[in-house]
Amino acid sequence: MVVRQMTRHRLNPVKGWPTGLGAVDKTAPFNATELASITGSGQDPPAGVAVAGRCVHLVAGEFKLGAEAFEMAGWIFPNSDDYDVTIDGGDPATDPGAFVSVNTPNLVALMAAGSYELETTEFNAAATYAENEPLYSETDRTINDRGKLWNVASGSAYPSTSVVAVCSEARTPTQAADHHFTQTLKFWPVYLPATS
Amino acid sequence: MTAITQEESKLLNQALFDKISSRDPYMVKEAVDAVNDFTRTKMREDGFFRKIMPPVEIANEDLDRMVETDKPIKVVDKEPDSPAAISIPFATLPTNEYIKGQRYAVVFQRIVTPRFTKDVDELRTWIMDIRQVLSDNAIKDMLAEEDGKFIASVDSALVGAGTTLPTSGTIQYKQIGGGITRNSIWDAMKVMPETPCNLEVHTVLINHITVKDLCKFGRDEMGGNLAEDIMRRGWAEREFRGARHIITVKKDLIPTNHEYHFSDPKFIGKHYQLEDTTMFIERKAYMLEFFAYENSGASLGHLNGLAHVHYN
Repeated sequence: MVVRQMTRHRLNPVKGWPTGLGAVDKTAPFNATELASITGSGQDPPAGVAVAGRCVHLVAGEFKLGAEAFEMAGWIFPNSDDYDVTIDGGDPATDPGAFVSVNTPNLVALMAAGSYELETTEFNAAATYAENEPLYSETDRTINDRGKLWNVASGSAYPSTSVVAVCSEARTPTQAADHHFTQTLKFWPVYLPATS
Repeated sequence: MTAITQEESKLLNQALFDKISSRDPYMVKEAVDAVNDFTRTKMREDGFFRKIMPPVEIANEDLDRMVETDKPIKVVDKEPDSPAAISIPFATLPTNEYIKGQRYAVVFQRIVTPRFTKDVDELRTWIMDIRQVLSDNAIKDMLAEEDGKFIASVDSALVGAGTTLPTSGTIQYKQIGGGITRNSIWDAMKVMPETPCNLEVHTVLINHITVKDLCKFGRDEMGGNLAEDIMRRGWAEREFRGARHIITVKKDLIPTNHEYHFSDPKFIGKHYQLEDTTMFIERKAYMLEFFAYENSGASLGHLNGLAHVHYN
């Protein structure tokens, strides 16, 4: 059993959240079908887990990874398997001795409608990022990479693809890890839908 | 909770209004405490989850720590089943059984109401109990979430009608034909004891429409003067079929002609409360903001203590 440290995947609100009781965050469950489709790639991400710091959008009251077209982007704050979201006690239909937690599996995401600077562990760490560079998170990325931030679109750049954020601090692939031994990217979320 | 007269309500309101309007933090705290007492009592009285699995207060030192998270969790041991004893002839020894046991976890979530806003000067005109104005919506919202996720978890545990569960090897969600009759309601009471744990039904949960069919039983079916008493006074919360019957108006959660059965709470699981229902009240100038929250967690650790019957 590999321990996943709570700092491995995270979203850090650098500026602007929470400010008083009026933060523009959104609470919703994660789409169960998409969650089950996350095959996993070691810890990046673990199978069946939507990790903290990934970009999401809302569909029919549920979060799904990535954001494009007119979808308002958001970034999930907890992991989908965090204990304040849910705990998997097994499937009562197939697992003898399963237990069932009495909870509602809601996550919270900081939506691009709010005004803040964020920092995420979930981005393409192989790229070099410049300040003011537009960032993308299309839904056609492979399932294990979906929801990460990229400085290039998988197809054509804006205005053909929606921009979900703007880089707020330059970084290179060889940049030293932070105090949690992780690589992070800082950005300002924006709502800039594709126009063509 | 005892009903109060309009005159008493006015007096209470004046006292509460004076405290809320006060610039003295001690007075404001007194007002908040009064609303909290009211809210907590109502929560205890009105929610069926809390009646079926009464919450137990838990302190920080009772929580368990995990390497991968700082979220609160409580690990609970399940009472282990032991293999059966056997008769053996002389000159042999018993078989070996290395002891292992199952556990389950209780994790915690916060339930919170919307943040309500009200101009304090508009409260001056209210005759009804201000505590009720402040807490009624909050209580309704919180109980809907508490009871809703409890029943959703029970449904998830029992999988679906006619499904044999691997834990018990029996069907714990049964459809029983012929409607609500003396025979069918007793057949319903067999579902839970049929599991290997032999648990008896401690609490029955039905809605206020289904109970009307129970009220139809005549003196020859109900026995004694109970039929007459129910005919004259209606159904009151009482023991019936050897079990406590909780009647709810939440038809969206407990459909008509459905019964949920629960064994004694200690055989279902655990329900812990990390923070009791608390009303946050803040006054900024003349605007009053308030919302209620609580932090609790529960798990259904022993699925054999649950059953569901649909009379069709």
